[in-house]
Parts: sequence; structure tokens; C-alpha cells
Amino acid sequence: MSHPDSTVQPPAALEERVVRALQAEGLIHSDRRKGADMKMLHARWAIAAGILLVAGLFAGSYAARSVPAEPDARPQFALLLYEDTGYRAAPPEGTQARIAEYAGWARKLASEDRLVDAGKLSDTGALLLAAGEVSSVVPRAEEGMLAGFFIIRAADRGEAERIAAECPHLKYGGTISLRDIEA
Amino acid sequence: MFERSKPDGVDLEDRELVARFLSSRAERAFRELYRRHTPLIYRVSARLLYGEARTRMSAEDVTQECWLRAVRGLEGFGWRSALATWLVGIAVRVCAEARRAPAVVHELDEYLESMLPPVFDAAALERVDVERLLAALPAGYRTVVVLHDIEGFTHEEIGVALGISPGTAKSQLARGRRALRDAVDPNSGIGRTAS
Repeated sequence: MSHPDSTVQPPAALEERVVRALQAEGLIHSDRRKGADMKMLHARWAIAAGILLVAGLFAGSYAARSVPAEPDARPQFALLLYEDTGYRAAPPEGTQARIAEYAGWARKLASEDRLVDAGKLSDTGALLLAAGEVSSVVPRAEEGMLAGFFIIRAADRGEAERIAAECPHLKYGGTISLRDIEA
Repeated sequence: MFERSKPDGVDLEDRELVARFLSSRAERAFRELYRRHTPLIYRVSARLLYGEARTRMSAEDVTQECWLRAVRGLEGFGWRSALATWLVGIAVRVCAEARRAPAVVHELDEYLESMLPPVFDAAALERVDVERLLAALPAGYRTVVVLHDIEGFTHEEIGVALGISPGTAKSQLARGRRALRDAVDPNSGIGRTAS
């Protein structure tokens, strides 16, 4: 008898995901070559995050020198970057260009004194539930995996939306959740 | 139905693979274990979570969590069961946590009925959505039906995997099969046990 569900098979990408999760917890040692490949794969956002953080720090220090006496009263907004199956990741040969594009956008925000912070979220982490339950599975929102964030300053929500609309993440099929940060 | 093949060499091969992995913790050795056992883990997880609206975990999530727990505990695995049985037990527990409900909780005394051959009609099952039928079963029944009737585990293996007695596994299977029969055709009495 051929069971109607005999085609149920784990997706090929799951193997890499599981291996990465085990590596992140130090449970298995990376094969050198594979490890190099994975490092290259993750470098795209790691480098970008580094650039963004440096840019953000620069912006913060610059702002501190420029206006030392008055705290910035503009509201802050969180731009939460999601990647679902519709996100078009850069091919290996285009990784540097993608990094430069995101970093360039961040530098522009920093030069306009709008960037507060930014970062790339790893695929690994933990999910803490009620009653002391802890799972190492990072939950996915309906929009997809939360992959990174920017914290920006803007005059109001409208300006924040206009800024977010220019983020290169959107043109690659990613989505951005814009959230007000309460003062 | 799937018949889970268990050639004599399986256990030996698993022991060798596990020993190789534990001696090195190498990614390559893990991948061999992964490719050998993940299809079963994933199939069981997919069936146990199918139609579960309350869980945000997918079969992929469960498979990942299963391997994380398995690798953490592999050194303590005592080979009192087959590796596959142990892994499936972990997967079932993760699924149960995902549903936030216990996997198997009912003690029943109808195991004699489950000693009989499968009694729901295969042709009838092919005419309906098997996954939908399974999804409608209570979690404990579904777990045992999937492991026994679809994956070919014995009651003893199911008992080890789920931490229950073989008799409880049998009684859960009997209840599950009865529920399936009723779902296929509540009026036909397909495969009813002769009194």
C-alpha cells in the first residue's frame, strides 16, 4: 500500500540549520572547510552589523560632541527586519555588494544623525516559556524570521515610515515592522 | 503502511556511528547520524503536529530540538533500546511540549483488542485524508497510531519511547483505531471486532 503521505521528507535546508544550531551550542565541531563556508555565509550580516554598529557609535559620539547640553528629544523607532521565504539572499558573488548597500544606507542615516543602533540577530537563541520551560528553537513570527534591527530617531511616525521605506531590505523581498519605542 | 525495516546490522551500525561521533564530536560524523535518522524523526513530528493550531513549532523546529537534546544526552544513552526508538521518544516529547499537553496520559485496559490485526480498512483509508483523520485524534492516541501502524514500532518499543508500559501502548492503539474507524464511517462498522 502506498501511504498518501509517503512523500513527507525533511527539507534539505534543515540539515544545515540543525548543524548550525549544534555548532552554536558547542555540541559539535565544525569541519574546517564547512566552517569556512558558513563563516562566509554569515559574514554578510555580521560585517554589516559591525559597520552599522561602528557607524551608530560614531553617530552617537558625534551627536554628543555637537550638542552636549541638550538630550535628543526626538522619538525613537524600531525597524524590525524580517526574512521569510520571499527574501532574496545575495548569491556568494554578490555578498560584498549587499553588505555595502546596507552599510551605505546605515551610514546615510548616521550622517543625518538618525541612527541610534543596529544589529543582526543570529538564527540561534532560546525561547523562554511560562513555568520555566526553555526551548532552543527560536520562534518564527508570521512575517518570517526576525533577522535584524535598526533603532532610529525621527521627528514623528510619518518621517520614520519614510525612512524605513528607503531601507534596501524591502527591495529584496524582506519586510520591516516599524514600532514606536515608548519614551 | 510503512514497514520499518530492522535488519540485524542496524544496531551495530548505529553503535559504530555513535562511537565515532562521541570520540570526535565532528560535524561529519554527526551528519551521518542525522541523515540516517532524521527522515523518521521528521515524519513522526509532521504527523503529530499536523493540524495543531495551538503550536508555533513546526516539524522542522521539533527535529532541530530533538537533535539538540539527543546530542546533549547521547553520552548517557545506554542502548537499552534502539537508537531510533530513543530519538523518536525525544521527538514525541518535544511535540507534546509544543502542544503544551501531555503525550500519553490515559491508562486503559482494553489492550486485548489491540492484539488483533489492524482492523480499519486500508482501501477506505485511501479514500480519505489520512492526515486529517490523524489530526482529529487525541494526542495520545495519535502518537501510538503513528508509531505502531505507520512507522512499524512494536508496543515494547513504543513503551520505551514514551515511558509507558506496553499494555498502555496497546490500549491506546485500540482506542485510536476505534476512533479512526468511526471517523472513516461511523455507520459502517468497518473492521469492528467480532464479539
